Amino acid sequence: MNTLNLSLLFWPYLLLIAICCLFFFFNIFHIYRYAISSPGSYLVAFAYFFSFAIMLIGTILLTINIDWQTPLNLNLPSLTSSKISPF
Amino acid sequence: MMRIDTLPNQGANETVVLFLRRHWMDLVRIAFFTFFLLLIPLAIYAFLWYFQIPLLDHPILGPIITLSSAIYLLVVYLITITEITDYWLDVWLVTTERVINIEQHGLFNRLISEVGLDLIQDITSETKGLLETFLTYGDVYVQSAGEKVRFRFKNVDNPDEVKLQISALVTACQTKHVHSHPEVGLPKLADQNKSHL
Repeated sequence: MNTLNLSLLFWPYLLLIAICCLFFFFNIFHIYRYAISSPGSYLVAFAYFFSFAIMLIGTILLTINIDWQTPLNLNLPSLTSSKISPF
Repeated sequence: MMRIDTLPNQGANETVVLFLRRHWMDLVRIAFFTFFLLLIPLAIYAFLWYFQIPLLDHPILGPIITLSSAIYLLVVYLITITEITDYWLDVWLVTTERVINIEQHGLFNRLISEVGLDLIQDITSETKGLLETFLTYGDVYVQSAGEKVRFRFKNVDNPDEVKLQISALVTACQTKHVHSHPEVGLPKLADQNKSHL
């Protein structure tokens, strides 16, 4: 019997990452194609590459511990706690 | 990339006098906007932690929240660099012969226009607002003859000084034009004087 698990979200997540990569390269293309040639433009392009690498690595680190085989049983935890319950 | 010393249709003795970008205050605004957007997931995490709501420990909701946070951070990052690209690609060049207006409106929308200095009829500088007054930045409007839409130099540094420099260049260009074509002179003014004799 096939059960739904978290891997259902993996491919849409990967698709969104790919779209983000695409828009990042659009930005780099615009800098490469249309910017005025100057040290500042090269610095901007380098900063883009560096920061995007950090963002991607950070994203991977955030999601690396996810167990994608976890079955999708939605047993919600109790949302009340001593701090928010007035009783 | 475009080289500033080899502009398209560059004249023989044409040199760039002014190279203008938007004021650095626009970058500060982008940074504040990004900071505010990044505060939202931090506030949610702080709320969950303070009220000890164990959503992040849930085997399903925890990963979903983590994935959503990762995508949200990437989207905020992309918005930020797109705004920075927009800022970086907005450039105004004033040469000894023309004014070139290069404006980027987001991605895939770019406007380049130019007008000869001899066609410029009106130059206006505007400094409006508290920050603009103290940091001396604002808009410069260049109006050419005919029905062309006026150029707007958005949030440039020292707009009064920019206006004066463009005015001086326009005067120099028009003077050079009159001297190089003495037969043109001021025909209308001379004809008007004759009609009253």
